Amino acid sequence: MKRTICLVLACLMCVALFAGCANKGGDQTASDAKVLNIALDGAPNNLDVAMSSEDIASEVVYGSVLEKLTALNGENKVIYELAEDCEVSPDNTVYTYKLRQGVKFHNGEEMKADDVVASMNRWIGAADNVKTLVGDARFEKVDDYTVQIKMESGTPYLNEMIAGLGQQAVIMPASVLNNVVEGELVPQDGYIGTGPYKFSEWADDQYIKLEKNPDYTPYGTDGDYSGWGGYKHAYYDEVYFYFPGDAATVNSGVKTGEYDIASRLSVDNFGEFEGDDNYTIFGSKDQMPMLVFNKSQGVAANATVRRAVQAVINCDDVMFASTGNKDYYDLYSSYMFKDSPYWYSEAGKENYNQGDPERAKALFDEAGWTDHDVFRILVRSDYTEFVLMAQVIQEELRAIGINCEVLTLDSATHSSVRNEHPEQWDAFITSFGPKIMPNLNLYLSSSWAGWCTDERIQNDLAAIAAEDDLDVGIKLWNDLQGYMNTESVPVVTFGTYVLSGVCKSDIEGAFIKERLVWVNAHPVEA
Amino acid sequence: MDSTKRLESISRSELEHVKRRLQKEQSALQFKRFFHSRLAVIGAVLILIMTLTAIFAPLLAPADPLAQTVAHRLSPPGGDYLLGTDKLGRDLLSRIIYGARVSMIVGVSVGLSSMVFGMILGLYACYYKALDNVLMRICDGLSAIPSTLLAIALMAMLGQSLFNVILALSIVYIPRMARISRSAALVVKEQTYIEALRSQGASATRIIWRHIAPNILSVVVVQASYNFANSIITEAALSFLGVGVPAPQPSWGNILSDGREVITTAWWMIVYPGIATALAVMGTNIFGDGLRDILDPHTN
Amino acid sequence: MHKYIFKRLLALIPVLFIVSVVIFMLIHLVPGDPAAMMLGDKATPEQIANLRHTLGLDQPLLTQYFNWIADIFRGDLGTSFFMKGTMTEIIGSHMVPTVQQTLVAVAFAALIGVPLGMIAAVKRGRAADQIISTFSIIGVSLPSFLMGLGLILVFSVKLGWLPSSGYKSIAGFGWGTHIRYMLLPGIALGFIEMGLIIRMTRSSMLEIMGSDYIRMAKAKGVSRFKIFAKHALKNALVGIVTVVGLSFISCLGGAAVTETIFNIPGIGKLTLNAVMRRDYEVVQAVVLVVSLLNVLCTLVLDLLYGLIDPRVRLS
Repeated sequence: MKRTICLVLACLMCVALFAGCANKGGDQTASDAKVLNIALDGAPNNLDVAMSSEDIASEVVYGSVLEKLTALNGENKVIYELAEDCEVSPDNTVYTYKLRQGVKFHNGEEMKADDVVASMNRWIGAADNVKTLVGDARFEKVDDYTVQIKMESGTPYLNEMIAGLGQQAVIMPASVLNNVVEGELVPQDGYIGTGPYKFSEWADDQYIKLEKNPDYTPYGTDGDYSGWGGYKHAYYDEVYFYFPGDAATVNSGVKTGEYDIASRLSVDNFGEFEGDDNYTIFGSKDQMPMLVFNKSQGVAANATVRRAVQAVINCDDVMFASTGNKDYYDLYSSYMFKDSPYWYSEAGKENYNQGDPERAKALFDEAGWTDHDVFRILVRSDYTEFVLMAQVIQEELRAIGINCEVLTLDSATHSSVRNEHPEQWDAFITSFGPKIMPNLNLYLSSSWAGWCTDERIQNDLAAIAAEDDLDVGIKLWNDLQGYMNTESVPVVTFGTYVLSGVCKSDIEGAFIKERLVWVNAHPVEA
Repeated sequence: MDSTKRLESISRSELEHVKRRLQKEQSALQFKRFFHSRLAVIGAVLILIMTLTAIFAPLLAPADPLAQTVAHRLSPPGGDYLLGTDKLGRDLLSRIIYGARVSMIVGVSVGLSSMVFGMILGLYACYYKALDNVLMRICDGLSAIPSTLLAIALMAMLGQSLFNVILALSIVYIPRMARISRSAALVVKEQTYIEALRSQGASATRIIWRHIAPNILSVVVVQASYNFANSIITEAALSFLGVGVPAPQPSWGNILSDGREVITTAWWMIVYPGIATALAVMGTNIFGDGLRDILDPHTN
Repeated sequence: MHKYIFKRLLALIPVLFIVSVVIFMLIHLVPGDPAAMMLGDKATPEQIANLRHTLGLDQPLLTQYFNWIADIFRGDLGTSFFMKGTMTEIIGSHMVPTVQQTLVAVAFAALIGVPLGMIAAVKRGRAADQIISTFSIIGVSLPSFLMGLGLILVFSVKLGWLPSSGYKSIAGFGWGTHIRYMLLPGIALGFIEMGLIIRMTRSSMLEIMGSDYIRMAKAKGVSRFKIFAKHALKNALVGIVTVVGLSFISCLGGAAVTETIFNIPGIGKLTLNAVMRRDYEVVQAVVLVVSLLNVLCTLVLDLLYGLIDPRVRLS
C-alpha cells in the first residue's frame, strides 16, 4: 500500500515538474511575425553601453535601440543623428547642438534637452578619456531643443569622440537616468532609447529579444545608410540574440536555419560556408591585435627589453597561427587603420615584423638579461586567438633561450591581475578596433593597463588633440609613431585581421564595422 | 558505551553503500570465474602501458609536444604526423603521449594524498569523539557541495597550474575518503580485541596505527584506486572547461577543449585524445575492481 | 520514524553552515570581482574602483558574510549583479532545464540499464552476459564530456540527425523539439549511470535468484517466467530503485559539464557563469541550494528505501 502511494507520488511529481515547465519559457511567436535570429559570440554582461565598453553589448543595442547625437558613417565621417545641427565656435571651445524635434523615446516621452544633458554628462563622467579632454566642462540646457558645452581649451574632435568612442554616448531619458545612482548601471527596464527597435526581454542565458519600434522616425534619406548612421528601417517585428557558446554550435545552428546571422565566424570554419550559395560571408579586417607591455614595472619597464621582444616577433607567424589563412589578415606597421581618413602612417616600419632572433638576442644582452629573468605574457583564456598568439611568441622567445611564461587566466582573474597586480606580468595581448583619432587608442593612455607614461607620447597626444590644423596634427602623429616604433615601443602591433560573420544569402544589409552592424538587415527582395 | 549511538549516526545511505559494495563483491566472485580475471589483467596491462608512456614520454614522442609548425596547422592524420596536428601545428601524437604524464601525475598524487590524509582524519575521528564531531561536520559540508562545482570554485581561487589541480582535487576527495575510513575504523574499533587492548592501557597511537589502520587498509586502498580514476576524469573535465592545467602544457582535457572548436573540421582532435582518456579510465576502473577482489577479505 | 526524520533534519544545520562558510570564502578569495566584468575589458582601474565602491564590494569580508547570512534568515537569498529578478526566480528558471535533462538521462539509463542487467543475470556466464558486462564497463568509463563530444561528432556533425546544442523550452517549441534537443545531452549525462545500473541490476538479480526462497519456488515447479517476474524482480527492485535514485543525484551534480557542452541554460551553467564573472551572491545561493537538495535527496532516498523494503527499520 505504502509502496503504491509512494510510486504514485513520484509520478505525480514528475508530471507536475514538466507541467510547470510547460507554463514557463518564451512565448510562442505569432506565425506571421517577421523574426530575425542572430547568434552572438558570447552573452553581454549588461546593455548599459554608456558605462560598459563591451563590444557584444554595443552589437545588440547601439544604433538599434540607443542612438547618439552624432554617428560615424561608412567613410568614418561624422554625421548628425539625434542632433540636427552643431555650431562650433572658431576656437573649438563652445559646441552648441540643435536637437531634432519630435523624436520619441520608447516610453513615449519626447527627447528634449534635459535628456541629452543627463545622458551626455553621465557619459563624460564614465569615459575617462573624454573627461581628460573636456576637463570640468559639462553639457548645459539652452532651451528645450538646444544644448551647449563650453570648454576651457580648444577641442576640435569632440564630435568624433561622441560618434566613435567604444563607450557609447547614447541618449536615454532623464527620467531613467535620474533614478540611477552615479557610477551604477542602468537596470534592464531602463534600456530605453530612440532607435528603430526597442528592448523587450532578456531571458538569462537564453536570449535577448528586441521588438520593432512602430513610432520610429528615420532621419536622412531612404537607402542612404552606411557605417553606424543613416536612414534606418525596422524590417523585423522581433529580433532574437542567442549566445550559443562555441564556434561549432554556431555553425550547425546557421546550417540548420536556427540562426539567420552569426556575428563571428571562426576562420577555421570558413570552409564550410565558402562557395555555398545559401550563405554570405561578410567581414572586414577591423581588429588590430597587439602585445601591450607593462611599462610601469618589471622587465618590460626597460625599453631595450621591449625592443628586443619587438625584434624577435614574426608577425606573419603570429597572425597565421591565429587565422590559418594568409587572406584573412594584413601586415602593416601603422597604429591607425589603413582606411582611417588621415592618420595612416608608415613611420618606423623597418622595426615592424622583424622576426630577427640575432638582433633580439643582442638587444636582450644589451639589456642585461639573465637566465633568472622571465618574460610573462598575460592572456584571457576565453580569447583563443590571443592564447595561440601568446604561445607563438613564447616559442619564438624560447628558441633564443629567453624564459617566457604564458599566464592564461579566466577573464575576471585576468582583469584583476592586469589592473591591480602589475608586478605579476610583463605584457598582455589584446586587440582594438579602428579609432577615429590617435588619442582614442586606449593602449596609449597613461591610466589604462600597460601605463604608457612616456612623457613625449603623452605631450604629443595632447598636442594632437588640441591642434586645429589637421596637417600639423598629422605631422605630429607621424613623428610620434616613428618614435614609438623605434624607441619607446609601448606596444607591438601585429597587423590587422579579419572579423567576419555569416548570414543566409536571402538576407542583406548585415556587415562588420568594428563589430556586427545588423540594424538595417533585411530580406532580399525577390 | 556510546558505541551503538555512534553506529546509529552512520546514515542509512552509508549502510546502503556498504551493502551495495557487498552485493557487488558477491557478484564479482561468481563473475570472476568466467570473465573477471581476464578483465583485471587487461586493466593492469592498460595501466602499465599508461605508466610506461608517462615515464618514457620523451623517448616515445616523435616530436616536441610544444614545437609549432604553424604552416602545418590542423593537418589530418597521416604523413609526417601520425595522428595529425592541432591549431598551432603541434604533433598530436606527441601531445597525447605527454598528456599521459599529466594524467598519471594527477591520478597518482590525488590517489595517494587522499589516501594518506583521508585515512589519518578518519582514524583519529573514529578514536576521539570531539574531533569526530568537528571533522565529520566539515567533511559533510564539503561533500554536500557537488564535486565538479567545488573543484571549479577551488581552481578559480587557486589559479591554473598542475599543482593546483592536484591540490583542488585532493580537497575534493579527502573528505569522502575520511568518511569511508572512519566508517570502516568504527567497525574495527568495536571488536573485542581492541577493547581488550584498551583495558590493558595500550596508547591511542599504538591502537590506531598498529591495530586499526592495517585492518582498514584494504577498504582505503580500493577507494584510493577509484579516486585515482575519478581524478583523471575530473582533471580532464576541468581542463576541458578551461580551468584545469593551463596551455601550452598538453593534457587530454586541454586537447579536447581545443578540439571542440574545430569539431566539424578536425575530428582527430576529439577522437584520439578521447580514446586515450577512455582507455585510461577503463583501465583504472577494471584494475580497481580487480584490486578489490584481491584485497577485500569478503571475497577471498 | 518522525523522530528519525527530525534528527536527520537537525543534522542539516551544521552541514549548511559549513557549506555557507566554505563557499563564501572560496568565491570571495577568487581574484577578480564583478565590477570589472560589468564594465568590460576596456574600463580603467579608476572606473572599476568607483563601481566597486557603489556595489559595497570594498566592505570587510566579515561584514559582507554577516549581511548575507542575515539576509538569508530574512528569507532573502540575495540578488545577482548581472541578472534581473529575485534569486528564487533565477534559480527556479535555471533548475527547470537541469531537471529535464536529468530526467531524460535517468530515464535513458534506467530503460536501457535495467533490462540489460536482467538479461545479463538470466544469461549468466553466456555470451550475452559477457557482451553486456563489457558494455557496462565501457559505459562506466566514458565521462559525460567525452560521451557528449562523441555524440555530437557522430549524430550532429557526421549524420546531421540531431542538433548539436541548445535548449528549447516545451512551452515555446513543443514537446517534439524539446526532446530532440534534450536527447544528446541526456544520453551523454546518463551513460555512466547506465553502466552502473546494468551492474547493480545484474548483481541484485543474481543475489536473489540464488536465494533459498527462489530455489524453493523452483523446486515446487513454478514456471521460470513466474519466478522471474513475480518473485525475483519484485525483490530486486529495492536495489534498483536505490541505484536509480543515486543516479538522479549524481546527474544533478554532474550536469555542469554537459550543460556547458550543449549550451543548456541550467543550474550547472548558471553556477559556472556566475563563478566566471564573480556573481558572488548567485554562486553562494546556488551552491547552498544545491547542497541542500543533495542532502535532502539522500534523506528521501533513505526514507523511500524503508517504504519499499519493510525489513529495513529506520531508527
